Amino acid sequence: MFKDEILENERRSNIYATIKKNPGLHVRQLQRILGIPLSSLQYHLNYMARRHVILEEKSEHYTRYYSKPLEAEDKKVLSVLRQKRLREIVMIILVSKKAKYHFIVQTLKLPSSTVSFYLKHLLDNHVIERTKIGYENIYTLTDEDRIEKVLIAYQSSFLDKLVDKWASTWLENRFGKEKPNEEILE
Amino acid sequence: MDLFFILARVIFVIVTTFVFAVSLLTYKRLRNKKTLLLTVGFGLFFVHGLISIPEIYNQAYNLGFTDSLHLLIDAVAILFILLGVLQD
Repeated sequence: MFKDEILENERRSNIYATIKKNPGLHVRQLQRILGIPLSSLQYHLNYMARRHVILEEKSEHYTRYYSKPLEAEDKKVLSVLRQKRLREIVMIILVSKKAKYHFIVQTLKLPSSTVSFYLKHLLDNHVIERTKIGYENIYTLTDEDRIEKVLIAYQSSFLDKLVDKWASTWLENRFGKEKPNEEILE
Repeated sequence: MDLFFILARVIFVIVTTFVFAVSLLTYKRLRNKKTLLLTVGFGLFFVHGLISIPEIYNQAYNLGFTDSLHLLIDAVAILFILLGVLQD
């Protein structure tokens, strides 16, 4: 389910990038460039148009598509989601709508102190929210539509990959003392 | 001045610049103590390499650093990196 969602997002991301590069393309042209089945392409285009990620302009014969520039608030979220691990946590919460702390740790297979650090960073930047139910912390997205839009618009750069590698080398080591619970977030 | 010595210094500065830049960018994005300590450590290596570059062009330029002082700067840089690695 999680992998499928990532693949779907990658496909949308490719469509978005193509539209951004060639504004005003219609469905058939997009299909020729991307080689995606028409029904699937139409589904993704409708999905993105509904969420205002792209604009559609209907003329007599064709519907043409244009990318929508990101707003200032979107760019703030984008700067946070440039980090691969942060994007993965957001994707987990996006797919499951609500995610428990332990579920995120198990899915990412990372030291819990590292996950706590990433969650704190997302909380501080108002990308996610935390609700305490009983003894457990439940994480939800602050603005699902905005985050979905930013995830689609995001294009990974060489620099992002470099910083990702650097961050994971130093942050995901197990030299430090492992914190067994969510104390770090309290 | 020995060509190998010049080459080694230039390569050292290029490599430390690259590593320091990536480290600084990571700190800018994540803003935590761990990445800050690492950035300071790599930053010290970068500055140490950079200030010795004018010596290549101008023989009269002399920092007056003894070998012990050079070693001390490197040791402080490594200490910051070690603190960064051990930081939770």
